Amino acid sequence: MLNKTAIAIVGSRNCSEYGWMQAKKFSNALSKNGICIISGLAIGIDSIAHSSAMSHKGKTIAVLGSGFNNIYPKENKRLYEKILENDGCVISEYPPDTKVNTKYFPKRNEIISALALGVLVVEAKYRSGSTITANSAFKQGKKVFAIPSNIDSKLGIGTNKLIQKGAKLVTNIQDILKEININKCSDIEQDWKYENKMVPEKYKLVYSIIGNMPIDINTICNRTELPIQDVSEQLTMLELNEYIRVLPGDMFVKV
Amino acid sequence: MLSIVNTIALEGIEGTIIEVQVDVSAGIPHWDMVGMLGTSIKESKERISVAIKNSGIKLVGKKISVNLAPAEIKKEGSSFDLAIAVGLLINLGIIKKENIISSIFIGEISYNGNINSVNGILPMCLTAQKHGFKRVYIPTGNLEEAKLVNGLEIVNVDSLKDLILKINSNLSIEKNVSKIKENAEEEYDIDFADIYGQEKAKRALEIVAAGNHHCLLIGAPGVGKTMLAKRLITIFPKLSYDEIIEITKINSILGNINEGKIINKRPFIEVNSNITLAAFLGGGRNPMPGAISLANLGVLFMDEFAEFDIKKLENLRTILDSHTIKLDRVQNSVIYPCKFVLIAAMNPCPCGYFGSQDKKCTCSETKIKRYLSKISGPVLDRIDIQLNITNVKYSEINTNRKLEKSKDIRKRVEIARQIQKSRFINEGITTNSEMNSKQIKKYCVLDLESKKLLEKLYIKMNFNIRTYNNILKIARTIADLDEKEIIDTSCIAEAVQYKVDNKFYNKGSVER
Repeated sequence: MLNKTAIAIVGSRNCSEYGWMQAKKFSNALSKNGICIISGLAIGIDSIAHSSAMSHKGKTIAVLGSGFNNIYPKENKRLYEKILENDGCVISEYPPDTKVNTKYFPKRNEIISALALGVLVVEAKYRSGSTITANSAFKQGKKVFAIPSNIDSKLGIGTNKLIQKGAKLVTNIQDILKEININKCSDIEQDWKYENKMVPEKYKLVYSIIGNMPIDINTICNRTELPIQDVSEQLTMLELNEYIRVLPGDMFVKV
Repeated sequence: MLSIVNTIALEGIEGTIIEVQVDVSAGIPHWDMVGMLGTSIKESKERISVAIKNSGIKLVGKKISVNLAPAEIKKEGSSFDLAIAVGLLINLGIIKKENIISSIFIGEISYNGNINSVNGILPMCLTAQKHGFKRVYIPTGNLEEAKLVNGLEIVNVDSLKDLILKINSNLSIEKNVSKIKENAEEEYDIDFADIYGQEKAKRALEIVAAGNHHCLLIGAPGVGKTMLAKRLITIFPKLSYDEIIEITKINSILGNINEGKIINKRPFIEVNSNITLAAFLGGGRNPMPGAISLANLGVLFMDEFAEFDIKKLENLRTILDSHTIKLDRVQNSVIYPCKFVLIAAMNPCPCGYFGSQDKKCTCSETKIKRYLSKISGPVLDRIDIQLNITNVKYSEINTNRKLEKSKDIRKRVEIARQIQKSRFINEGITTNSEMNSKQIKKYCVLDLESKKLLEKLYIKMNFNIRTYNNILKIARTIADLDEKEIIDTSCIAEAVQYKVDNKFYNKGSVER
């Protein structure tokens, strides 16, 4: 399995909705193309990278910064077991009972980049674990890919800086596949189209306000100048028909 | 010679007529009192004998024997003084027996002969009225409170001398007619127009007030949860005479009525998590009402809901169902009303910023789960409306949108309440929140389209039967606010927005 073509997907633990979506999309598409996904079994981007790789029977490798008996974070114990059940691989260079220690993480990140052909950074703060992984990839002569972020977002500083340093800006998986000399790409085109959904006329006004950045109901109400009861009603209908999605904290985004 | 005088003993807010039997005979000077008496009544002989002496009346050595009947009721408090003193004065020939027919005497006597005010005058006067007594003699300090009761001749007395004068002059007094204005517009110094933005929360509280639904506010610190909750009472329906009596009664036995000021506003009782169980539910050796009963017919605001200990939260379950609390003691048990609207407020997570767009949450998923698991499902069942409060944007402050006054919102609420009242006239309930599942089936009539919509929503959003019922109840209230007979799709679609439920809490979990 370690001989397989592999790409590492890393990113912030405290990711945004945007990062979450992109990690899911890329991990999904890469594993559909037979590429193994490597990550660090942390929460946030790492978790979604592992689990979406497995959702299409893809292979995934997790590299730990602790012993096997001390899975960190505890929430991901189930994910750890799932990786093993799905014929994945979990790697640790520490004895089984080693407790988690932040000083092991940079080492772990080096292993991640070393195992992969390239590292895809989804979201990273300035000077974070993900940038360490990317920098070691640079040193090891590996490819570094970065998904661009909103320049106002804290989580975008790291990735945007990496792009300035020479990481490849990617907007779809072909950008990655080309770099690692894989030319055939299984049909996943439709995922990348920026489609405009046909929204029924009566919900158009509310729908037009909702974008990719989460927005709350009071702001929608304020901008549309509609009565709150109408806005509430329309949001429910839009959600039911999967035009929009609700995030924690009652925030709405386009699907 | 035996003389009999009537007074009243309270058990909770229910009164019992007590017959004070005073017998004075020749013999070895001695004063004896029987009838299951508390300490403060046993002491009353000292107060009375000194007060009678200080009022210029000679109480020469006699054998005095007092019985408070019925003897099986435990009696507490100092309000029996006046009746005992009157019994004695009759025996001494100072007051004529005929002048106190059908009268009740309530009051505490002090050493100088003055009559001090006592707690619980209002429920006592109501008992007197119920039992057909014509006249009550009460301390002057309690006059305003007693005047709430219709159909009694109310005589206020300052001192023993004043009392003797008033009884002997046999004055005729007109029956009291309460001057309380029903459905009066109260004066509040807070108003819904004070709040910028928060349109959804305002609408939700309108629904809360219209249907008497309980409500959970979830939001980061400082977004205005308390501010919103405080304004809820300004849009509740105006108080009727019976409601004023009910609220004042509870405050009367606690002695909360200062300078005779009648309570004519709905209560807003704010409790925080370090309140003791006794102060919360009511308690004491002689059970007194707690915060939940003080909030009767008003709002109980529980801030930091998740910080309350399990015992209080689980007690809340039965209270929210029964609207009364029974406090049991060995010798007696007391029932207090506690029909309030619960407004619970909490942060979404221990750090307070989960789901917030302004600040990142620093809590781990386990931490959030542990924080939320304190509130059990059965408690959440009973809270119909769950609401996320988000921070107000500057654009909402600086807007042309008209801020609606509480007065105008209240008008809509009152219409909706009227509709509910006439609908439930044979059901023994008055508001939508009280409907049981049978009544929900009967009164929450859906048209075909909304039935289909609800089915779709049920599957899509993973409802369970309890959320389903809650949504129907809220939709019924929304329809009442819009004065619609049948619940249509817009009511259902709006009602769904007042559920936070499971979609709120799954940070970072893989199944998102």
